[in-house]
Amino acid sequence: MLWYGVRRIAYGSLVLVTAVGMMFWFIYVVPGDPASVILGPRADEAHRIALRAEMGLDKPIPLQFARFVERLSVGDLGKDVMTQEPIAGLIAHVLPSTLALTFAGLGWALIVGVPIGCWCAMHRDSWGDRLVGIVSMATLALPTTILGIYALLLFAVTLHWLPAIGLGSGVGDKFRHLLLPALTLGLGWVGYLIRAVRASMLEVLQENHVRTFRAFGVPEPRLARRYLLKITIAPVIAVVAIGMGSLLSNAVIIEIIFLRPGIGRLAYDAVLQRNFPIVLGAVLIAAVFYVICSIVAELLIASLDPRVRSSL
Amino acid sequence: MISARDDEMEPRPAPAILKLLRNLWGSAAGRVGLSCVLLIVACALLDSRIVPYDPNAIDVSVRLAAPSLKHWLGADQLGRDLLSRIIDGSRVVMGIVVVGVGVALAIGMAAGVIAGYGFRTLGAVFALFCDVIRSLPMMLFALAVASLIGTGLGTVTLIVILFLIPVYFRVSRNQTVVLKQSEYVTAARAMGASSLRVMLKHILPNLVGQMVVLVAMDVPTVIGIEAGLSFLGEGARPPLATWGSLLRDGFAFIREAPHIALVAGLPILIATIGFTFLGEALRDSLDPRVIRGPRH
Amino acid sequence: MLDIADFSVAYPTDRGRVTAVRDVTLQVREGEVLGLVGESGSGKSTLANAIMTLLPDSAEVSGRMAFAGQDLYSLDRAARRRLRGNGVASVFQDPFTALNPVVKIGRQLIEFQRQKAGRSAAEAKRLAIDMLGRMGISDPAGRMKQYSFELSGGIRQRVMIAAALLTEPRLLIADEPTTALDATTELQVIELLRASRHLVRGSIVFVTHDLGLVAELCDRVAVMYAGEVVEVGATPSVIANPRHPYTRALLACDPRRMIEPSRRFLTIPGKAPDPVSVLQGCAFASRCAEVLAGCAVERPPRWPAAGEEYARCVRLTS
Repeated sequence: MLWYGVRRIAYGSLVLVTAVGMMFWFIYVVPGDPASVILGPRADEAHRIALRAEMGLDKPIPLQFARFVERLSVGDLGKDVMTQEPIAGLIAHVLPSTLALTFAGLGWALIVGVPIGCWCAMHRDSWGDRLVGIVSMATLALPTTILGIYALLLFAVTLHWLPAIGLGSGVGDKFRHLLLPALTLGLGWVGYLIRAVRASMLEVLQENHVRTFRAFGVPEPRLARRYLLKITIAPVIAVVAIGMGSLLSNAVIIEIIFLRPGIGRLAYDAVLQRNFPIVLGAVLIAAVFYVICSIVAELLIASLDPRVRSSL
Repeated sequence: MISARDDEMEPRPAPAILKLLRNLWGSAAGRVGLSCVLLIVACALLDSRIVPYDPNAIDVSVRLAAPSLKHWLGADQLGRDLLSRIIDGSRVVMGIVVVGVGVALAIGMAAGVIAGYGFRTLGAVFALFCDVIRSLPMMLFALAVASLIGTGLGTVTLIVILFLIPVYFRVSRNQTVVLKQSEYVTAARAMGASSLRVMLKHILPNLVGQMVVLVAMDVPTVIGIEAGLSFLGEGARPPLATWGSLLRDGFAFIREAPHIALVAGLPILIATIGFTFLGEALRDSLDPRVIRGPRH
Repeated sequence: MLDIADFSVAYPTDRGRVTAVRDVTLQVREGEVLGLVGESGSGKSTLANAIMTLLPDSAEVSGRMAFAGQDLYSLDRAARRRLRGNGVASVFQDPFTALNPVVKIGRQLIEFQRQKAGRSAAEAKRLAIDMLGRMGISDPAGRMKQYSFELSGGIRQRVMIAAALLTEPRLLIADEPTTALDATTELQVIELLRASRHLVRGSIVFVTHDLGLVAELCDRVAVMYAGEVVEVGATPSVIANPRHPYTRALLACDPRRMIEPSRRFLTIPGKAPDPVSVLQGCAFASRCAEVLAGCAVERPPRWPAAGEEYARCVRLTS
C-alpha cells in the first residue's frame, strides 16, 4: 500500500515536472519575447532589455530552466511585474476562496447526486429514473458559462433572492454569497455524478453477491447502503478525480461571473494586464492541486477495495 | 486459393446511414436531438441567406430594445439585431467545431491507434502529455495561452484541439488494444498484412461508431469552450458575433437589458440539448448488440 | 413442507412472453431431500428461484406455492423477504462470486443471521465461528476476518453452506451447488452436505443436472423438461423404473452407464422447444422416441392423477 502511494506520487511528480517544463517552454522559448509581451507594445527598448536581464532571459536556456525550477522548489513563484509583490503570497491570499467554492460545489453535487444515482439504479426504467435521466443529461452538458449567467439572471437580478457579487463579510453573509455560485458550479456535476453512480451501481447489482444478500432477507436499502455503496463508489471516485481539472476551470468562470475573488479572478485580471508571471503561477498551483487530488483519489480507492490493495 | 478481396467484405455505407437515421428518428430523444442539430446546422450553412438584418448593422435608435415584432429577439447595446447575430454566430461556432474536432480526431485517433497497436514508448509519452493537459484547468490554461499568442478564434480553436486530443487518444488506444486481440485482426496479421494495413482497414472502421458518439457528446464541450473564452474576452474579437461574445454583451448589460443575456443563451441551450440527445440516441443505435452489420 | 400446485411463472421479454415454469405440481415432505433434475432451460432454476421468492419483479406468477401451509405469493413482498433467511435458505451455484468481495466474511455471516430474531451480533458471531468449524474449515475465527478472494472455491462453498445452516432453515434450496467446482472439491462438498444432513431440521431441494448426485443424495426426484415436471417419484424407483420417455432417455445417456469405452456420447436428438412459443400437447413430443400421434395435440395428464408421484405420458394412461 505504501509502495503504491510512492509510485503514484512519483508519477504525479513526473506529470508536474512535465507541466512545468511545458509552461517554461511556452513562456521563455516560444513566443519570442516575454518581456515585450509583459511590457506591451509601447515599451521602450532600454526598459525591455532591463526586464529581460532581470528575468534572466539573456542567459542560456538550460540555465534559465534550472533557475526556474530552483525558484519553484522554494515556493517562489516570482514577482508580480506591476507591484513587485511575491506571487506566491497573492495566490495564497485568494486560494482559500477558490477552494471553498470548488469544494462546496463538489460537495453538494455529491450529497445530492450519489443517493439519487443509487435510487435510479435500483429503480431502473421507472418514471423517476427516466425523468432524472433526461434532466441530468441536459444539465451535465450545459456549459458553466450559461448556467452561471442564467443563475445570476434568475436568482440575483430578477428575483433578488441572493446576492450577485462578491465575497460577503462574516460567516453567515459569506455563506449567502457562496450559495449561488456553489450551486451553479455543482449543477453540471450533479448530472454527471448521477449518471456515473447509476452506471456503476447497475453493474454492481448484476453481481451474484447481491442475490446472496437478498436470499438472506437483507432489505434493499440496507443492502445498498452498507454493502454496495463501497463497491459502487470506487469508480466514481476515479471519475471525480479526473474531473477536478474541469471543476477548477469552471470555478474560474463562476468567479468571474459572480465577481468573487479567487485564483480565477486573479489569473483573469493578470491576463488583462499581461501580467504573465501571475498567470503562470496560477496555472502551476492548479496543476499541483490536480495531481494531489489524483493521488488522494487513488489512495481512497485502494482503501475502499481490498482487492486493489492485495494486488499492489 | 483464398481470395482476399476486401471490397467484397466492405459494408455498404449508404443504406447503413439511412437505417441509422430511421433508428434515430424512432426514439424521442433522437427526434429532439436531430431536430435541434439540424436547426443549428441549417443556420450555420444558410447564415447570410436567412438573417433578417445585417448582423453588424448598427442602429442606435433601437439600442437595448427588448424583443418585439421588429426585432424578434431584441437588439444589443449597439442596436444590432440579436437574431441575426445569433444566426451569424452559429456559422462561426460550427466552424470552430468542425475544424477543432476534425483536427483533434485526426491526431488523437492516429496516436491512439498507434499506441494501442503496440508502440509502447510512443504511447506512453503521448499519454504523459495527455495527463499533463488534463491536469491543467482549461480556462486558466486557455487564458495563459491567449495572453501569449493573442486572442481570437485561432486561439479558441487551438485550445479546443488541445483539450479534445486526450479524450480521443484514450478511447482510440483502449479500443485498439481490445480490437487487436480479436480474431479477424489475428487472421489478417497471420495472412501477412502489414501493421499499417491492419490499422487502416480493420481497426479504424470499428472505431468509427464510438467516435461518432463521442464527437456528438463533445460538441457541447466545444461550444462551452468558445462560450467561456469569448465571454472572458479572450476569444472572438468584436464586432464578430459568436454565441460567447453575445453572452459577454449580455453580461455587461445584465441589469439594464436582461433580455440580451437570456437570448444569447438560447442557441447554446438548443445546441447542447440537441447534440447531447443526439449523442445518446446514436450510442443506443450504434450499440453493437443492435447492429449486426457485417463490419467483419 | 412445500406444496406447489399448478404453479406457473412467465416473463415478458423482447421476443415475447416466455413461460419458464408451466403448471407444476409438486410436494416436498418434511425432512426429505427432493432432487430437481433437468437440462438447462428446463425451468428448474426458475422454479428454484420461485421457491426462494427471488423472482424478478417482472415475473408473472400464477398458481399456489405454499410453504408450511402459507401461500408465498399471496403474501406481500416484505413478508416474503422476512421468510428468506428465516425459514427458507439458499445455496447457490457459483461460490466464487456469491460473497461480497469488499466485506470480510465474518461480517457477512453475521449479517445473514439478521432475520433470526433475538440473536445479538456477538451471539451471531459465536455461532458463525462454530458453524465454520463444523464445516471442516480450519481456523474459523481467523477466517472470519478474511475476504472472499482470499479463500479457495471449496472453502467458499462451505462458507455458503454454513451461512445457510446458520439460519436454521426448514427448507434449504441448493441450486447446483457443485456445478462450478472441480471434481475433487465437488466430492468434498457432497460429503459435507451428506454429513450435515442432520443439521437441517427441514427439507432440502437439490437442483442439479447430474442424475448421479440425485441417486446419492435424494429421497425423491422430480424431472423437469421445458418448464414442466414430467415425472416425480422415489429416487430408487425412478432410476430403476423410469416411467417417462425423457427420464429413460436421460438415464440412457448418462456417461456413467457406459459399459465399454467409446468415442461417442449418447445424446437426445433434437432441441428443447423455444420458450417463447406456446406449447401444444406434450413438450417432449418432438424428440420422443416413443411418440404417438396424439402426443403433439393434447397435453398428457398426470398419471396417476392423484398423489405425489406421477409422470406425464400418454402411454401410461393407455
